[in-house]
Amino acid sequence: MNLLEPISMGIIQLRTNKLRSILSLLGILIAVGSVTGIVSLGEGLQSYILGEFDKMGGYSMIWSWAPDSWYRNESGNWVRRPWEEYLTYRDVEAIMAETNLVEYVIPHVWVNMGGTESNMQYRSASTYGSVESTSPYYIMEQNWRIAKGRFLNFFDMANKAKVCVLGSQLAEDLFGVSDPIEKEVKMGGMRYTVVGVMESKQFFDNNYNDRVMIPVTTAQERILGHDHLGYITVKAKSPEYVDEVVDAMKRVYRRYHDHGDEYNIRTGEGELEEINRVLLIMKAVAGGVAGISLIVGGIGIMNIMLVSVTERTREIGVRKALGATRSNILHQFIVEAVVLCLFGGMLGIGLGLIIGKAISIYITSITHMTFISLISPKLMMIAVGFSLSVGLIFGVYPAWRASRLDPVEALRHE
Amino acid sequence: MLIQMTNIAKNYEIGEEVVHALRGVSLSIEKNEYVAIMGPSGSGKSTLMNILGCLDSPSEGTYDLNGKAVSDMTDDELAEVRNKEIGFVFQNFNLLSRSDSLHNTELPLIYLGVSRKKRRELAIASMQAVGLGERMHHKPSELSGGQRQRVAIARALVNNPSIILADEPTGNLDSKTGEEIMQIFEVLHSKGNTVILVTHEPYIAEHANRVIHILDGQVDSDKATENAIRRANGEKVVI
Ligand SMILES: Nc1ncnc2c1ncn2[C@@H]1O[C@H](COP(=O)(O)OP(=O)(O)OP(=O)(O)O)[C@@H](O)[C@H]1O
Ligand SMILES: [Mg+2]
Repeated sequence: MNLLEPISMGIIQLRTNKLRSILSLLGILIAVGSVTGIVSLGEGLQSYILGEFDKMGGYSMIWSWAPDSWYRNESGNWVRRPWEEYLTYRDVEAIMAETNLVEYVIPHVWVNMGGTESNMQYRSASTYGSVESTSPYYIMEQNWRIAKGRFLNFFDMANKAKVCVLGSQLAEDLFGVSDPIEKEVKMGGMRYTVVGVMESKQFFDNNYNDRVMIPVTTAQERILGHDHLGYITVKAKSPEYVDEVVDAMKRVYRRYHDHGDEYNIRTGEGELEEINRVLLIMKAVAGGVAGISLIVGGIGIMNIMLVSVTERTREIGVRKALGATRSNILHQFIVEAVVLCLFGGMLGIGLGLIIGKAISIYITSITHMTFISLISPKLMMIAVGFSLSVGLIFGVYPAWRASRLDPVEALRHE
Repeated sequence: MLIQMTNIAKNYEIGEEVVHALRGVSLSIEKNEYVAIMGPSGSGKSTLMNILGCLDSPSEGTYDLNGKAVSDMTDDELAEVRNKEIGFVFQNFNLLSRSDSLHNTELPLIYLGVSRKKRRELAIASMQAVGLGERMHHKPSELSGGQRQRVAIARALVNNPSIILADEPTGNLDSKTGEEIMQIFEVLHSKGNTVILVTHEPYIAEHANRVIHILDGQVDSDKATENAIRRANGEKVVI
């Protein structure tokens, strides 16, 4: 007897008992479905994040900021530091001079324009913008395009110009449908000429559209009155240069600062590891859910197969009387369980696809993240493999019981 | 000698009590014999048939089938013997209720490893031989008792076994239908099959050439039927 025979016998058996078959594979279906859904969401999310990360040049990115300047941990005790150090624009220039593997270095400064409800006004309109004081390279880092006018330039930097570029929401809040370019908005008691408006953009929770960009030099000298930088963003010319650039930055910090070794330097690679760790945890949780629910589903299958064996005792007796060997019977019942589980698994993959799609559409609709759930052939194979193994593992015992039945006893069974 | 049984005993232990279903049965049956086994209820006829059909093994004694000792056979060899050498017909038909008659008839061929196409052919031929060519796709529940027993006989024949074992094949049928079934056995016997059947009805037993009476698990008598004697004397016997 070849393998096809028990398979077709199994299918016939399951077809003749449709309702029960469907009920008993429900457990597997839900298990495989929910896990496929979760994992396909995770994979969709991952590919979206990695895509965005890549578009932003994430793999080549380095972020750096001054040590947290007030306290430090000395052999278990938090002690106040006697010094305070910070990055300045000199570090930016020194890094660019130190290595030619850098594409750009962007300074960032936090400024507070005052106001809680609103910090920007144009005539009678007002709104709240989050201020980014930065350099012309900022637009490149964020992979963000200009919609109207221009972005900050190096003349603005050199002149500490009172100019700003608006996010799309701010432009709408302050100017409605009219053209903001060359108009003056008021922030923190100063007037800034609008030179450009950005395209609308959203990434995760980051709302770009309520940002307003001003030159970093303007913020430092006209608002803050000092030359500190909050943090800098460095982009290496290519991901493989990141380590060399980090070394160059360390050299610069050591040269210009007493405690240069303590500056924080974080790379995109590190960020990516973080992201991947979170996604891995998500997948592991899904895997755990999968494991438990597959066991539950498997027990359901075993239960139904045991019932089926008892119910079909006489059939088993007849088959044995007609020449079925123990292994024939064993195969028959294992294959039935496997066919049942495989069928459940396939339906589960379909269900998971739908769940993943539905959730990703929902997420897209509420967050503007344009990602779709992904189901890879590998994931499908794993799902199929798991349902097959569940069928095998939980089908063996009932099948073994069936194969051990004594033919005479079985025939006598009512 | 096709069947050679010597001192076959079969004991069932139920708790402390031991039931002696067979106590030393010896008999030999040759190829193409037509044997009826009779006896009161509980005398051990079915037990004997099960042992003859290699479904059950004796507690004591030796059983040679076609010159081979059955007690030396492994489980798989016994299955093979049941598959190739023996065709069972049961009182309660024992058809698979969810399968149609054609599939029921095919069953032994599946375990013989016959290809699907060949199986179909053989099963159809076997069903036609018992006069059921029109009822291929009926399920057992859609057939009369007589028709069900024909399917069971078609199934027993499909592997072309050397021995047909029928345990009260007409027990659940009215006498007219039973008579029709007996005609089929008649034909099988005339074609060279060995037929062994259990019955309570003397008129059924009269179809056979030899009647073995079992009493309390032992052979009480073993003799030729009157019809066989008349046939031996050259008389033409029509039953
Ligand atoms: N599995 C068993 N366990 C215990 N006792 C059994 C078993 N099978 C048969 N017996 C006993 O063996 C004896 C013979 O049973 P068997 O079925 O062979 O009788 P039978 O001649 O076929 O009777 P009937 O004409 O009623 O079919 C009976 O006393 C029965 O109770
Ligand atoms: Mg009986």
